[in-house]
Amino acid sequence: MKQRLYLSAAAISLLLLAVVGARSARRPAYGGTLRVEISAAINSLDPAVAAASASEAEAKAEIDGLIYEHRNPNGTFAGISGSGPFHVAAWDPGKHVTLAANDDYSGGRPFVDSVDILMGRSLHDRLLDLEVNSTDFAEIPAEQARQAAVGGVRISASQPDRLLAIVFLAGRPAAQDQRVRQVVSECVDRSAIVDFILQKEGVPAGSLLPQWSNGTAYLFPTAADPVGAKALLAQIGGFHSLTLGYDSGDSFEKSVAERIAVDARAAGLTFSAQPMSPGNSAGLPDARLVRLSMISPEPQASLRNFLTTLVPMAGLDAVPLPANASIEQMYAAERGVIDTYRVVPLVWYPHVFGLSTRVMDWRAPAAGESWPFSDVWLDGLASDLSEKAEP
Amino acid sequence: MTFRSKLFWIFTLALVASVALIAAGVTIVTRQAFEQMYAQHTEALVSQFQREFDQRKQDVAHRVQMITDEQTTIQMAIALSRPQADPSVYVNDATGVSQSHQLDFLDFVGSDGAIISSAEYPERFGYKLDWLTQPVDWASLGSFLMKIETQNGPAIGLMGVSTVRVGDKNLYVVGGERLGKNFLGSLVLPAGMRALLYLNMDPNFQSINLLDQNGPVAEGDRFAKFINQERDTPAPEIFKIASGPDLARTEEFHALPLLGRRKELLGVLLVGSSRQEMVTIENRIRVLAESVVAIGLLLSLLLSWWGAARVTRPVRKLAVVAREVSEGNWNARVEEKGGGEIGQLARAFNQMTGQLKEQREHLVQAERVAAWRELARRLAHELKNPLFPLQTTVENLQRAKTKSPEQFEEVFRESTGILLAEIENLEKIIGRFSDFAKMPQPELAPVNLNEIVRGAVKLFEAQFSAVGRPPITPEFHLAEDLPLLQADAALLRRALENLILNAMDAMPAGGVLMLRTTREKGEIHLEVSDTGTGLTPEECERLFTPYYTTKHHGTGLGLAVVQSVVSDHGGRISVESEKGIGTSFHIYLPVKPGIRSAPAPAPVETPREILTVQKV
Amino acid sequence: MIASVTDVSSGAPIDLQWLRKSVESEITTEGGRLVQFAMGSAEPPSADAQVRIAISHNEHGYVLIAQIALGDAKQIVVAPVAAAPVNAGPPPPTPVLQRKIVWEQTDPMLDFAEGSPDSNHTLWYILGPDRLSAYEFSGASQILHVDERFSRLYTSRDSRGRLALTDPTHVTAWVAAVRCEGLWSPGFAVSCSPNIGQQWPMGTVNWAYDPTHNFFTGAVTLSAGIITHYPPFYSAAFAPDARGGNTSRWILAGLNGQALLFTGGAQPAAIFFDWGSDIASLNSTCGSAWQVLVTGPGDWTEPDRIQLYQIANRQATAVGEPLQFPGPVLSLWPSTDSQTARVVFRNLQTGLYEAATLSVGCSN
Repeated sequence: MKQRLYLSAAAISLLLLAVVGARSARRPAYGGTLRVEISAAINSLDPAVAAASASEAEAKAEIDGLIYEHRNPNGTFAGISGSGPFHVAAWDPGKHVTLAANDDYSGGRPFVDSVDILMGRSLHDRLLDLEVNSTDFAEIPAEQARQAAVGGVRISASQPDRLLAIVFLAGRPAAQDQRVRQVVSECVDRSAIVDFILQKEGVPAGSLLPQWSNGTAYLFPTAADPVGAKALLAQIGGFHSLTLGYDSGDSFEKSVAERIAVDARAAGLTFSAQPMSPGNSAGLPDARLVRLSMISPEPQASLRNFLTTLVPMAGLDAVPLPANASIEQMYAAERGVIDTYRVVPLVWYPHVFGLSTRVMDWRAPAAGESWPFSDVWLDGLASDLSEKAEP
Repeated sequence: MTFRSKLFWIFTLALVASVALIAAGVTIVTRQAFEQMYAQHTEALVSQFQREFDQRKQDVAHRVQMITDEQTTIQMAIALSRPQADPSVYVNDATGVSQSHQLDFLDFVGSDGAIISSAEYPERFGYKLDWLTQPVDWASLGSFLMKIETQNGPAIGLMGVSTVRVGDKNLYVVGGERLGKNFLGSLVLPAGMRALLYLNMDPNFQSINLLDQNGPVAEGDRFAKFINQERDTPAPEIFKIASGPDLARTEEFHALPLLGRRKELLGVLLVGSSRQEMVTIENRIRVLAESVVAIGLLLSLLLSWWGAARVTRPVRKLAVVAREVSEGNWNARVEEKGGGEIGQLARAFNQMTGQLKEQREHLVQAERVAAWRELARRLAHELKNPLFPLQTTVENLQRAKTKSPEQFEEVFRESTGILLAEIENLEKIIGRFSDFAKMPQPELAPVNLNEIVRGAVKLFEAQFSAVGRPPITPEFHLAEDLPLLQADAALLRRALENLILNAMDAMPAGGVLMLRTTREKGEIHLEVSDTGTGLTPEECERLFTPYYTTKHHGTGLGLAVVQSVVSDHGGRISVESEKGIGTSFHIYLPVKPGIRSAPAPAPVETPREILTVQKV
Repeated sequence: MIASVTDVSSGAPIDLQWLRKSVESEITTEGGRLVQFAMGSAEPPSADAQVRIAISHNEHGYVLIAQIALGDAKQIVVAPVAAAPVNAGPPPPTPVLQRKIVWEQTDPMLDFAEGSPDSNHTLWYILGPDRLSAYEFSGASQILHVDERFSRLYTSRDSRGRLALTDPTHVTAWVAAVRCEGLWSPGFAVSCSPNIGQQWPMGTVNWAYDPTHNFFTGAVTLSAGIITHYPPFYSAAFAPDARGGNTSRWILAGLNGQALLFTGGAQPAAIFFDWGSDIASLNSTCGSAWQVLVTGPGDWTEPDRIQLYQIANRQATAVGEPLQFPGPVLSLWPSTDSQTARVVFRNLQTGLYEAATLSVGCSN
């Protein structure tokens, strides 16, 4: 009969921790440099200087949120550079920036001594560095989250606060018929996009605001109806061919655009995916994929921000949204936009972050919040056992 | 053409023909042999290529099976067989697996036929491949061709299907290679061959679908006819396509239809081999044959020349002698050498010549005798005519002697008149005979024949339009560039006068007398034509016989004189006539006379009595 | 990490499967990832870390010997393992942690104290990062709520504070660099002043606090005024000398996650791993050894636990089952008599800050 060893947790821990390494206690530890990698190359941290691309603008806003006093609801920044939890200690435009903690920051000194940000890192390099713990933080495309987690990367995802939608551009004759746009809305298999492309990191979207924000998203259907779409298209008659533009540098948009083309073709509609490079407006498509990020968990602020972008882009009539709009008013505004089929929401998906094992007290930022580098601390910093004293 | 020449050409032609025939025969046989060999070689290469293609099919099926046997695939199948399985985890797997196994197409398909992961069309996850879930033994089917939907449009793929079964669930692995330029490039082709692939993906022939290993084939429209034939009737075919006028740029293609599972034509594989080598060989053979023929020709020319000369030398000698004999040298003899046919011929010729000489002498003698007889007869006939009245008149005189002096005087006057007339007639007759007998040899001098013609006609102008006689209209067609003739003008004029007289006699009702002179190849052609009564062919034959006449009067010597004059000038004369239409005399006179001297009249053994008539 | 286990003992066969499950469970709890666990003496394939565990036996019992290779570094760790107890008789009483949740609120809480001036009144003091609140309860109803704010000289992201009751109506608070006195007279008045020297009294000693951070500097002022310098620590557990001598024993929860046992010397007598940053001594009636309450490792985004340890012979032995908390323990302070401990934690599910008292009971 086999014996069972009474293995104390200590006995096992003794072994394990000798391998795993000393683990910190619960309280945040001060010190260390948080290593960050981003894909964008930021050429100026000045908020007044426009970014060359959407990804640069997004990353720049995150860093500005760390070096300025705070971010205003409208997206601007209060204070001067360095008045935030960090200040810029080293700056190599487009390549590298080091932020040093401000000891006298009014909200408390960040736990880490500095944040070292490498720019222009490819996804492959970021994932690799996360796997081998060569970096502490990197944003990961939502569709890569699952695979990264399987590869051993520690993953953190926010609430789904980003919307991917089809926007039929104003002034494009091919999509003038609302029924054609309705066909597009009905034939797209949003669940397949969420399950296969996003690898379940997201939810199908039928509205402009997610369920967790507004609570009314469930009132907008998301299920695909290919049979109905086909019947509607037959009812319309004629041959319809449209183009759907997507960011040529974004594999996620490419996959979604290609999938939409497949769904449309199954319904009898030609909806060709057309890659578009930034700044190249030659050959405008009939519609394009648009990504919108919530600027605030507050539905009103985000909805207003969305409408500011969508109304002119889609050629919509002005959508009234009073200040302090109620849930009903917000729902009505959304319904007013969705029912035109000029904006076809596809999926809600989160920000996904890859973290090293030593990053502690990480909480995924809420919509509109900057990266919470001020609140994280690093585990396993080298201990100095040389400071001993005789009692 | 001389006999030697003829023989030379006969020998030459015979040799050349033989050589050419042999060369042609050898060329044809050789060419056929090469063609056959080439065809067999090409067949072998095509078969080899087909085996390569079949091998590739097996390879595809094998690679698909390898994927199925991999642990990751089995684990996928196991995971998907569980309830609430999540296939989305594997959506990107096909891409990496296809690359590692070097497949252009790879799909992982669930038990319900829904695509789990697709390498060639990643966005098609979830869509169903209904054909896959049909009850088919994929393992035994091996690989097959089919049309595949890809992100960039349809394509033709060489596909294999394998299945992993876990419980009652299947995981299908569908993989394959794209048929395209890369596929062609990967096939091992024998040297000198090339492969083209036509992808039958459009209702009509599209030249852009005809590929080689570099992509769409230039000038693909040349293949349209043959491809359309295959589309109508898919079957292995052979056809040739020329790239230009040069035969060496002709290619021979073996068309192999590529059929799908349901026997639909998905593509046509064209295995082409250049005929350049074959044409080069054929050209070499042809050049060789032509060289042989040329050499043969040259040799045959030489041999023929030598042979003809050798063979014809005695014949030439024979001909020379024969010409001498024909020219009157009856003593010419051929050297009788050799015992063959030529020697026999020579002996026979000599014998014949001897006999001919004798016969000629006899004939001459006989002709002389005949001529004298004829002359005597004619003379007798001619003389008899006037003699009879002479006799009658003398008899009348004798009878008149008994009559009164007045009657005798009348009779005497009448009789003497008759006697004188008949005596004059006799003188004419004897004069013509004498003239003919003593026809002079022509005295040659440059003469203008046109002037002679005009002069001769002028003499008869008055008679042409004589009162009481239907007019005769002379027509002149005289060549102005007529060269001077070496001739005797008087004799020519005389001959011409005789012809004009005959023409006048042949046109009692008047008509046209046409005189034409032309120059023809070193001769001068004089034509005298009338629109008279014409002659029969028999009359034409005897026309130039002395004393032959169709007229009721005359001695019949006129045309004989003409012939004699013409002959003395080395010319010839002929006649054309049609009864009731007219007669044309054609005289050909050499510009440079080769006057045959008339043979010296043989010493005539004249009759002992010579009738002489002295004109009073 | 790859671990392989070999049984080289000559004793009875070991249940290696159970061992594997234990190891895997521990590793997963630590946040690590066990890639492969091989049984027997097979050569494990390469990985970031390789552990070869041999179960050996000496005269005292089983011994776990671990050969650890981490990159180029190699290490041998030996851990004695107790076999299943075979003594006859009833098992000894086991200390059991007991918790009583006494307070919850939405605002952040650093410490709390309760005092009863009389049988009709109960006074509750709640210390927050920038306020000291006092509640008066009569029976079950709240009679008065006083919320006194004070200005903070230093703003730390991890504010720490502690309350001490001189008597039920007199409370002293140490918060960052401020010291506040609260007094019912009869209204509750709070007066705060900078805490010069940043000394926090802890029983008979004072700990020097770093107000710009969240830890104690390591300078401990003894009752005789002697300052002993230890490595910086988050919290400390003190135990008197069991033999009655002058040697005191301290366990300091260090900043690097290691808890150091000092028994009077300059160098730590033992190092304990896998301890949280908040520890407190407890003097319970169950068991005779020095007992220490220890929070778990990890960070404040995860649930926490408090485990009771018995310290003997420079060994820390976990006693009983850990007490699970639905969120991070933010503070753990012993009572004056060390019979109980005060714990403040945050409920991650509700977001509320909750206060509880801990005590140790015995189970037979």
